[in-house]
Amino acid sequence: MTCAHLDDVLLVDSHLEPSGLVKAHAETCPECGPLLAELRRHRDAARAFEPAAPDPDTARRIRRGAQSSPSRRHWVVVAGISAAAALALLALRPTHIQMPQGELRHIGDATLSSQTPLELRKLRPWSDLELLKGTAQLVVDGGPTLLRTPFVTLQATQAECVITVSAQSTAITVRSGVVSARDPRGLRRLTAGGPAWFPVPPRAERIAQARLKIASEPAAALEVAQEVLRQAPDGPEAALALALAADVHRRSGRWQAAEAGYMRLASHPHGRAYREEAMFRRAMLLLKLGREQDALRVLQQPVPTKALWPERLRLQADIEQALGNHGEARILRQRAQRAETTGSAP
Amino acid sequence: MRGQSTRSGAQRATKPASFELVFRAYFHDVFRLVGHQLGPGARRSDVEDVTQLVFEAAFKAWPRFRGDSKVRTWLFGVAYRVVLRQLRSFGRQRRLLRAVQAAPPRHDDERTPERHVAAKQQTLRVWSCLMRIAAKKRTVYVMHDIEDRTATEIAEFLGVPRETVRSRLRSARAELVELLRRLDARGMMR
Repeated sequence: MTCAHLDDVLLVDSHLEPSGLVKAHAETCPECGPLLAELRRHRDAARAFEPAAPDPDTARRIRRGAQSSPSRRHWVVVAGISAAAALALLALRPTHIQMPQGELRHIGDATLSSQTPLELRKLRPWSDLELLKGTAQLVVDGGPTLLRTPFVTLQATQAECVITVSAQSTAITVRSGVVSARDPRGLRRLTAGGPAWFPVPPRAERIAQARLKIASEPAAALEVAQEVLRQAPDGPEAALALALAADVHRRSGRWQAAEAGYMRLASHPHGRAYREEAMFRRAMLLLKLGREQDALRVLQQPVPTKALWPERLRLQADIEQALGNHGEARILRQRAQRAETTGSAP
Repeated sequence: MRGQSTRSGAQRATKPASFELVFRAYFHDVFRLVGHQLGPGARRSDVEDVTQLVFEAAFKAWPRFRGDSKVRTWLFGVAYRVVLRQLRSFGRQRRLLRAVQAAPPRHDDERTPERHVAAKQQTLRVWSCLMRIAAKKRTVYVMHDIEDRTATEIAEFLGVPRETVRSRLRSARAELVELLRRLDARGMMR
């Protein structure tokens, strides 16, 4: 579409009846005339959809719901705040290492899109953050801050940098100050300049390659995972290997082995980023194995992220339903629906 | 396409005595507005949920409404903002799109003429492409081209400049044409 008057045609009023110059132009232009006709056709087709009318019961129900829910929500908020305060008190017991956590303690795929640089200026000292994928702009002015990516740990006190994590590498561009970066190869001090690259370690790369063959060559994929687990059972790659092994077992129908694998992954020191998904999958497998109560217990355990919150609520509802707790199941489904609608988690 | 109760007493630029009056006067209009914005892929329960959210938000904001604008403008503004927020929810957006794509044209009657079925199919095709357009642009398209509202009115509802409305409308129309052309081209290639 190259005509200079296209914009005028695209902006005619809702009757799509241009007047004056635009009309005269559209009658002769080989682009604008058909475009106008198309717009009219699409508008008429779209208008043919007639939304359903409400019935009297709906009006009554919505009126009652609309006028009662704010107060109910108020109590939910109060209860939530009280619970959070109690948890905070527990967390700050003197026996606990004093390491205040920033508001963005866990930054996963669910909370950070790769296109949105995140500025972390307002962090308290000793913030401990995690960036699994995407880009974050870290501005630390006063107080050491840790930022972990899957294979690199950064520490900065007075610095400004941009970190991009992808499947192949972690790239760090320091704009000011000094940043210490540690990966399996050792420690590097980074100062202002072009991006420093930290490629994904070879073991992790092998796991990524094996994952691609999970459907066609499950035995080979499992072998790679087991080899990595033998070589470095406590390293960051071990978490990836555990996830791969558990997935292979699950897809091959070895549910008990898969369940045990997800349990190991959830409790692995480097498995925090995968914990929520691992526990969710574990609960699904326990359900398949007929262990409903165990599945419920797993779903009720605290997890560091809430990306699967609606799915977990729905699974919990299914289990409660299967156990005959219909009221509880209904409440859980409503919560799941609300969580899906608002995109929020507690 | 606008609602029938737009000339009720609650439309004056003074604050009505109670929220109940506002509810009674505009419930049907808001329900219809939500239905239009969610499109043919929405289930009845979706429309009811979002309508309830609209009235919840309005009820909460009611004490702060001073009657500076018409109640209708204020309430529809609340409604559009709530709908927009709901449409931004990725899950809901994806589900609505899937539902439109999966919906077969309804055969109300075995003797339904083919032309009627084709028209319904065309409606679903257009809506399935509309659901692919970003929510803030689609909202403007639906308000302008389907609900027949003017750019000034939409700007007032959404609280954005009129030029923003015009630019969103322009992109929504262009994207819709482009999406449908691509769909037609794919259909011809098969």
